[in-house]
Amino acid sequence: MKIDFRVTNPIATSIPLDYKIYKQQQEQQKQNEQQQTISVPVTTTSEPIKKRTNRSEEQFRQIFMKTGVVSQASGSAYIEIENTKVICSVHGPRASPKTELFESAKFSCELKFASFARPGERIDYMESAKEKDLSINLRQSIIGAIRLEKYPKTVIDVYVMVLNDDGGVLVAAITAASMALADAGVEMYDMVSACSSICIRNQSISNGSNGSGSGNGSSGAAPKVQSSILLDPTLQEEESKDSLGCVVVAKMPSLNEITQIIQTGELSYNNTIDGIDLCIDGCDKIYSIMKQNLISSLEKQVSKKLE
Amino acid sequence: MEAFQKVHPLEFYKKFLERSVRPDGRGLDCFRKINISTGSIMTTDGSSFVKIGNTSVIAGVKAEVALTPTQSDNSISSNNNNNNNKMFVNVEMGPICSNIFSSSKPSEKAMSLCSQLNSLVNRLEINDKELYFDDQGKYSWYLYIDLYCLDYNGNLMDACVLAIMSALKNVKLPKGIVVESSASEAPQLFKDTEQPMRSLNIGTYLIPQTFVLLNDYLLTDPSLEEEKLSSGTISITFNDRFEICTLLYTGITSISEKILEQCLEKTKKRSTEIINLIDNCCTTINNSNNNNNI
Repeated sequence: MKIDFRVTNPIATSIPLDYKIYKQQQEQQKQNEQQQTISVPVTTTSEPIKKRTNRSEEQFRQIFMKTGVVSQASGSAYIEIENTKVICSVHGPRASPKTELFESAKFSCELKFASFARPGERIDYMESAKEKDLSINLRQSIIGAIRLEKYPKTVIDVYVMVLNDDGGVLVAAITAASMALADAGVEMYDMVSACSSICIRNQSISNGSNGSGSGNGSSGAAPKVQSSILLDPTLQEEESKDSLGCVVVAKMPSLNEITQIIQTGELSYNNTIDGIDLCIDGCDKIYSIMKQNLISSLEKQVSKKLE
Repeated sequence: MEAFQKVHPLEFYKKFLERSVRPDGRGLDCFRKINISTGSIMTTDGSSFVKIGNTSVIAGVKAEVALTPTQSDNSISSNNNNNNNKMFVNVEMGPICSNIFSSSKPSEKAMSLCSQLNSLVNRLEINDKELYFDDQGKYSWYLYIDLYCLDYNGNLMDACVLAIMSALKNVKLPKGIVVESSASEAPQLFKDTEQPMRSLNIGTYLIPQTFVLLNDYLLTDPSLEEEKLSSGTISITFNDRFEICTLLYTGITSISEKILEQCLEKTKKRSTEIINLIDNCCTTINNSNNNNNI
């Protein structure tokens, strides 16, 4: 039986590649042939990271937040970190559909990407492993902050929709979700703010190490990789071949407690600690923006009621 | 007052409608403010965001390429009714927009809306040549239009039609290059990013308008509560020559011819305003290439 009634195209379609890159590859091949060296297959399509020009390594992108964007939800928030756009709505605390008794509220999170959220191929409507993973991480980061014991026999659902992904989706999702929960009036110990940093291999060093090739890895101690840590990476920085690893920290700033640290990739001890430190500072800054936003939205609500 | 509204919503509405006004302060013929902004999603080939009152819909268009089906292909798979389609519309009404929807599978409302919009898109009179990838038309662009409802407060049909219209107006297609390689391999397709992009020529405008019947009163641009209480919904879509593209009535009571004529007349009156709205949003955004906040 057909369960999914969405419209699909019977013809398989594809996204054309960029002609500029193709031309560059052709020229490189020609050069290689002229020099009569062994032709190296041109496979790399990911461009090297451009150095940040409009902001320093420890600077955020511009952040815009707004609460109360969805009229039908108990609480909602929209957050925009330059091109990363995320909307979140909270339903509940509402009565659970099952009649079973439990002493604290059930809390569930779901994160979805819009099919057009990422560059390249469209994202499937069905939940992917990546979305599931992000949902679980999101839940883990926030659940510690909510006073679930205050709402027995209820459920609280958080739904996050990623409209445009340009890096830092989890950061945006955590921030949006805690703003939305605050907007819904759910009791929390503190709002959770999140921040991410990325460790990147420095350009000049990477060119040198490319020549030595992977065969030399076994001889002696591994060459020390010079790296720099960037705050708030974009999608291009996240997915580039030069990125060594990524750290995401979720924190309750006024309690000074960390709710979640996610570290991926291969990072040295010092790099990880530096990355976490940078994120913790970033969390505090994001928190102050969140607080400001909530206060101003509350002021607006109050003045509207007085009118 | 609030208790009365919750317990006897229909009576509550009657009290207002007798005085030709609605609880939210609108007159019976008044529609909510429409906001359209385009080009806010960078990962799409064209996007738009439409807000009618609190109802908001975001649309994104992704373009992909495939061989243009030939006549012989058509006859083989003729049972597939959307064979010649080059545009595919999908509507998602997830739990984000309202707590009445679940995330597991598309709701029935989304499905019916989806099929209506898919047939409407073919009424847009976009020439086949507009979607040619190369000059000869051997390959063509296929447009996938995805609509996400972000806030459901009634009258989704109008919001979706406007979102499709403005998103398609916002579409920018790059010039295609076909590189024929050796005979056995399939030719490679590339887009030329150095040359200027072209936008689609859309032959006509779609002017949607939804009405609701509540206690024999005809209400324009219904909110969610009015849709819930109503005894019937009339959806009309005109093109810019005032030909009817869709006319849909669903409800538990029958309607008289007079009411239908009234609806058609009201939709006609509003057409120039809607056309201006769509045109304006596309021209202003092109000039200032900023991010648009919801």
